[in-house]
Amino acid sequence: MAQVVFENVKKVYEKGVVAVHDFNLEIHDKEFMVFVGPSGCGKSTTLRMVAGLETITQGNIYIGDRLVNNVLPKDRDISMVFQNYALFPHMTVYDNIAFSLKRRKMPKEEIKKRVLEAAEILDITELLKRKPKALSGGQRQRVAIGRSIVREPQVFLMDEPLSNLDAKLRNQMRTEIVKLRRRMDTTFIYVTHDQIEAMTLGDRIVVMDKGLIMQVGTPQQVYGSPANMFVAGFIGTPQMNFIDAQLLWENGRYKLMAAGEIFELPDVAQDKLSSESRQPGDVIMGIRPEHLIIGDSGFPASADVSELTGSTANVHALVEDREIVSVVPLTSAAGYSAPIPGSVIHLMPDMDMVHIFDKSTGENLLAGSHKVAMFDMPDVNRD
Amino acid sequence: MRKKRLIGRTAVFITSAIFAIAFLLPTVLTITNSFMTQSEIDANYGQVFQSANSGSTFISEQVNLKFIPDKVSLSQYVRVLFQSPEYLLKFWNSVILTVPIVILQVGVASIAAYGFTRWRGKVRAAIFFFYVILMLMPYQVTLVPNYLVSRWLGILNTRWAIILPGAFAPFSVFLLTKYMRRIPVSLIEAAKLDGAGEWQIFTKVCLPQCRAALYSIAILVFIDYWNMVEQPLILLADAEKQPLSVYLSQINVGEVGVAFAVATIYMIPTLLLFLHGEEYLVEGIAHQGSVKG
Repeated sequence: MAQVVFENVKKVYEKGVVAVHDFNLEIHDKEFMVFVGPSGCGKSTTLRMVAGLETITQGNIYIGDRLVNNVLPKDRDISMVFQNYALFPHMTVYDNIAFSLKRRKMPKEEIKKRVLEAAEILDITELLKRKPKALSGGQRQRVAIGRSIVREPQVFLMDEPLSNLDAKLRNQMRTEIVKLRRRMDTTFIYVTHDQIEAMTLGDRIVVMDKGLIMQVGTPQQVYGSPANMFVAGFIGTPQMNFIDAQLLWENGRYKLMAAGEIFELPDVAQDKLSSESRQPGDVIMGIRPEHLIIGDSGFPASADVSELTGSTANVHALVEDREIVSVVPLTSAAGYSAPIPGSVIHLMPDMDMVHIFDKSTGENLLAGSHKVAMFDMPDVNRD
Repeated sequence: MRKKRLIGRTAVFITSAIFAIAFLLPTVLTITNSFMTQSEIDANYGQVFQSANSGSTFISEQVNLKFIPDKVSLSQYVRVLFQSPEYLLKFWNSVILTVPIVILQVGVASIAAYGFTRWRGKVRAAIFFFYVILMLMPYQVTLVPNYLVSRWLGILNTRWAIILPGAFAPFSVFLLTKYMRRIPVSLIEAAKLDGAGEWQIFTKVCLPQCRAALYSIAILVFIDYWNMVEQPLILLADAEKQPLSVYLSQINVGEVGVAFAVATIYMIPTLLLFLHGEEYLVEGIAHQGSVKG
């Protein structure tokens, strides 16, 4: 059992800088948990507290059933992959991978067996005699992972392991990590600022900002039903559109007025708002670009630039001086003509997918009421 | 534009060549002249030293700086190596003073630098500041305290009076601290997670990466102490214990041919050390001066 539990964990640096506030989380055994957030949000600090590389100012961290607050990093039965690989430059790949096993005074034969196994898994057998400076970025990353897996730890920690790689290699290594996870079948905590990595790798995602947990959920939950404006804006590319709106109460039903247009809210939203006796007033309407359809009805907007991404086109437009984006899927059967900049287009939101945020707190008033399972995800990450 | 650049480069080349020749001339002169016969030496430099022997500091206009011997002779070397054991004894004195200083200074500096690198805080900052101040002081300033401490410890006129202060030189600590700080913290953290203790982090992770710095420090310290004059003159009253560097200045008067041979022999260890570790020396100094990366 290697669940990791955070109980009211707080980290305060010198001069009173609070990096992590009252962090409570339970990471299940064999779960792949991703911490995601912008720079300085406290995700790496939290990971380093699990590793024992940072002291905990307050609270408790358990690995398995063991309280590890005062346990040395080497005795926590964890391994960590660092952003800059942290390979020892004076050692060969073999010695780098074998380093931890030698420190544990494992028999030479066992060390050799484990190193060769790890090298085979990561396809680096032919690199074992090389030194890190003779390796490419991707190969170094594999060696760093090899050094980590050879110990067969209870928990894998990965601190932005793909950040130093180019886009192509990053995609490739992401797939490798998914495969590795299937083989290792243990608990992973993965830190990244890249939402694509978070969405593709995590069983669950912790979105953090300013040392606080903004939301914990599956990738589908976080994307489809963000808890607040921060999560809504952080997860998703292009990011969610936010439009000033008014929540109305007319004829016993809630309606939303945005950019001069009045939209009916679906029954599920009616139920959610009614159950909380939500008062009409100023709100922020949130709609993802792919749920904003260019057509003959909806709110008028002034078309701006269009970007072709390959399978889609991102059409930028101005609505009441606020820039919004609509994603138009492109198919080979139907051609697509981008609107002329300056021309008036109409954008119709898919009201089933609309989010309404409290203007003062940023809280999603419809959180949990959306159809978050946009597609059935087979459990491919696990055997 | 291209012509201007060519002229500029030529000027730089010529200036550099002049400086290089100026630096090399005394060394070349020493080496070539060490292969001259005694009669040729006398013919070239005799006037100078006869005057010096008679108490006059007059240098004869007849001094003949000659680079190529008329006849190559090993007579000066035979005299130094086989007929006058005092030279070898002095050479050995230099070895037994310099080698322990190099070993101890590199060892002490490594540990001290590791301490300065790994631990932060006000006390560390204060001690490091003290080191820097000490480093900035000319050696002559610390010579008197060294003398007093040596006398207090009862090691005056023993080799330890030279070796002990040499082992704790601040300059090496300063250089090595700068070098060690370049080692990414993540490497040390990775070693920690992999089960390495502090001593293993120091010996297995930190020191191997400082090889260039250690080598360059060893060479610099060796050169510094191999050529020392003031310390033995003040701290070693017994002439028997004094190194060749001190003795060289004395044999220059009167036996210039022998002096050339001794000086040439004296250069060999430094030269060999430099040639062996040239790559490390350049890398070490370049890193310390932040020329690289």
